[in-house]
Amino acid sequence: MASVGGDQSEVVSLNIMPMLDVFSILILFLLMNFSTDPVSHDLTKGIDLPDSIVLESLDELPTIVLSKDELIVNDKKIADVSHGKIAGALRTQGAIAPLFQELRKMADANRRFTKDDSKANIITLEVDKTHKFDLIKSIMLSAQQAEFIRFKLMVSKQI
Amino acid sequence: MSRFGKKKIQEAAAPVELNIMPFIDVFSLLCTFLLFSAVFISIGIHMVQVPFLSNAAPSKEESKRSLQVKIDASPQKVEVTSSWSEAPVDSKTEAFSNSKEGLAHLHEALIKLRLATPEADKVDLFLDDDLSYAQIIDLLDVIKLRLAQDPALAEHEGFASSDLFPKVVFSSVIL
Repeated sequence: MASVGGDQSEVVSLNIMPMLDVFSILILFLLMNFSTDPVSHDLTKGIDLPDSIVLESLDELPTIVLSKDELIVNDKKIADVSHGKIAGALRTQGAIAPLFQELRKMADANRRFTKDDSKANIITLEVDKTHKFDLIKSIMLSAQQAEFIRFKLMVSKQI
Repeated sequence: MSRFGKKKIQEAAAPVELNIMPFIDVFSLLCTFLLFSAVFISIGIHMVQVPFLSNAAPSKEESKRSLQVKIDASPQKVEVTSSWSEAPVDSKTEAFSNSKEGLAHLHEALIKLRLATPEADKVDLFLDDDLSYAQIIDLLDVIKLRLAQDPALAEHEGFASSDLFPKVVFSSVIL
């Protein structure tokens, strides 16, 4: 009977050189893209950042996150966002009352624990690119009332 | 030649195979580590500020005659007004469409302003409520950053080489 398997004494050796080539190229690619940014931050779910040609890298984690459907401060949900707006009852004189209260607490803690005043009044914002300035303005107004006057606006760097 | 010498020559002539398995192990581990730590989106920041009240006495520099640049932006158009703080005020206004081409022209106009007045570093930005965050960032790119093809600007204290107007104040954020 003819054998299907062929000569059983034949030694089959696997050519691993192509695999090594693929590995080398993959490593080269990953090393080239290796991030040297001071802070590594994964984007919050539901946020699409706008593109920018800015050179400055993110150096601290975002404090205020404004996704398509939520407003979050330090991982604590402050309000729901619906159709790019916050419920009217939460807005007083243009500012967002619960956000102001939360930021006020943070500002007090900053004053107590931060020696460098120049860094105490800065806040980082992560905002979805579809939001209108009307909403961003009320967030900035709340922060301004809590004595945060400088903002780091997060963007996606075009590499 | 002795029998022992013959055996030695035969051993030396046998093909030597390099064991590359440890090499593959190292590559695999390196790949895994790099894939875990890879960041496929690089995040940058634009620093802006909002107006605030201060009890501090105005500095001598603030009382000098200086150029004030004001930009009004809406989803359709962008208006730049430059004027001097003291007479002769010499106020000038230019309007641009809020499109890719319009913003490129706005950038050229701002470069001209900076070339004429190297010490000007601040822009007051008045934004319409209907502007999206993406449009605001496009505008900030045009106002704050000097591009590689732009003419060299005179070096000035506190400016980086990539700065055009580094201080941007969101002047419409006020109660």
